[in-house]
Amino acid sequence: MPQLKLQSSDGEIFEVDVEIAKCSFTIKTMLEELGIDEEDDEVVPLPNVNSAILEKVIEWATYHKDDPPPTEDDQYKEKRSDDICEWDVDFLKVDQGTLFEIMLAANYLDVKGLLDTTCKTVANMIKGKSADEIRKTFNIKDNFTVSEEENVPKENGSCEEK
Amino acid sequence: MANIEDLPDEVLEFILTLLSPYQDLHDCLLVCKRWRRCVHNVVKSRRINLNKCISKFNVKWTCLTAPENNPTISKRYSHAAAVHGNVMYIFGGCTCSMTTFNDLWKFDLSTREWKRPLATGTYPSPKACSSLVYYNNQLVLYGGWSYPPSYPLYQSWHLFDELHIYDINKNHWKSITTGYPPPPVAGHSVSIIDKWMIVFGGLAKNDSFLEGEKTNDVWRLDLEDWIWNKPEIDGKKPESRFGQTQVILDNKNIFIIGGSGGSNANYGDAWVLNMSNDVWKWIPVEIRGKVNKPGNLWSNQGCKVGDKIVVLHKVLTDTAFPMNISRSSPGYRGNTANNSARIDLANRQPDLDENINGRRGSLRVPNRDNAAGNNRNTHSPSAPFADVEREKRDHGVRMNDRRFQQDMFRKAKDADKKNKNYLGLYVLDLKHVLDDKPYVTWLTPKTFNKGPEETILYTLVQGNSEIIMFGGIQNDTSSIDKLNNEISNSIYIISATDRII
Repeated sequence: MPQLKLQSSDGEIFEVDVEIAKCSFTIKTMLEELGIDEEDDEVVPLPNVNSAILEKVIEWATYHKDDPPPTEDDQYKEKRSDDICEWDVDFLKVDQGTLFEIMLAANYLDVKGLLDTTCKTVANMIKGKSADEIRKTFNIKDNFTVSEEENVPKENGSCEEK
Repeated sequence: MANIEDLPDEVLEFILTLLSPYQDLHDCLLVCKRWRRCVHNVVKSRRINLNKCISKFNVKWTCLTAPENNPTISKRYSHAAAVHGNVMYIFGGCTCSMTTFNDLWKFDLSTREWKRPLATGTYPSPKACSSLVYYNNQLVLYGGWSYPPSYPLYQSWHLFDELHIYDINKNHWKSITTGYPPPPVAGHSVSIIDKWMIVFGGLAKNDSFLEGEKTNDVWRLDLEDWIWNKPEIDGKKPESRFGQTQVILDNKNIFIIGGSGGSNANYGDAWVLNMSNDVWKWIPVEIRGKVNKPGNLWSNQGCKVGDKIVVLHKVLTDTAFPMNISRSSPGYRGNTANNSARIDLANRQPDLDENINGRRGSLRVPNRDNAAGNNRNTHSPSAPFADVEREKRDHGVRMNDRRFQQDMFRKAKDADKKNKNYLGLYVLDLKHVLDDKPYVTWLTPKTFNKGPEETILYTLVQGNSEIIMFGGIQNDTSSIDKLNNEISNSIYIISATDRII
């Protein structure tokens, strides 16, 4: 199987199957548009992804390489966040920093499945928490002024105006 | 180290779209300025998305069937529904035998769970076809009807003029004595504008009538001092009717469409009630796209979403399009409509719900002895849903005929093969309803996303970027042997098909 060389931001080089690398839409387009030939011994630089994270992304892509591509029917499926596959749940048992770096990499490399599963993981961390608990969980600074906070209905809150 | 703050807005917004659009999303609103901005974007794009999907008739139906062992509202139709905040409130309604309810249920839209608040205070009478609307942390419940008591015979349906408010925070019912009240009424339509409750039509019982008669009166109740008055109205009035759809267009204009004027008078006409001046005015509205209108507009009140009214009615296609119903939500056992219909057919057992009085008698396959009494009711003008009742009772009478019974048996066996009718979307475009020459348009369906089997007398209300249908009775006269099973306590959520990001 043809191999492709990916270079992380810290200079490490990873050899991966082209098919696996192509689950990154960014790399796929790059290969197609730039006409990088599989025979060429060129290295694809990925300046936004460090080696630790790139390794994780490749691990994920290798496991999921045989997943069926998303179909038309998928749009009828209910959007839910409790259907993360077991392997992914284990795979994403990492510290928050790593999780968000994986998300940033998935976003940059445009690996849809990985972005989906990580977003679901974060959504599950948000569910059922109060604003204060969310801030504590993710270490977010409350930058509302007092009057701004009073503007928002606290009880029976509906986030939608009718 | 990366932080959640490092995620680009579109990723944060994608995460937020995975949350329930009720409490969870509301909590996110309060996290910080950036999250609030993103939540607003999500809410906005969700709303646009729903409106777009409705215009394209491309919606998703999700059936929520209550899990066993959890407290759940009993099956009913002609109940009243209102949404406030994260809760859908359901009051009253009836079974098709003898029972009307006076219970109030809360459906938590965040958790998708039913709760029955045990309210204090003076409860309303058990009744159906009353109106329930939100005003100032209260629900205003008005009018309605109940079945006649079974003894003594030959009593008429009872119409109510009682008005109650349910204080949401105190969980308390209060009966209100109003000044200069209109006659008792049911099947009317109401809107709240400022401190006014505007009431139109319904079946009303004047002193001069022994039983109820449909009306085209408009009444206005001041919700601060509880005084009624009957505004002066200019222009030709709509025909008297009940069961119509009424929506607010703006602070000065109310729109009505459809309704029933009795057995053979199903209205499809539309009107604007203009309240700008001291003397109000009825303005007739032209209807375009009549070829796309639903078959009737009195047992299926519509719901306003953006500048459209969504009406559910049977669709005239059957297998051309796939059933577009998805799986459950957390906390709920999900079923496709197909499955639940099948389960219902397979497990036709008497309803075991203790609070259904009808079960305690030998109800409800009428025999010849009481057929006369039933027929009397059938022809009573006060029977608000004479059409449904008549069909059922006529069937009941015919059930006595043995040949007919055999016929029914054969039909029941064939029922699975028979094509059933399913609910689908009908969409009325209100864009030009306030023009100088006002018109509304029934849009041409672009696809037929089928919902559950044809049901009528359900409620349809708008939640956060979704429409919620609850209860009702199946309009299928082939399955009359177990009446209770035709009535529903299922919830169907109509929402946008997911956007591909």
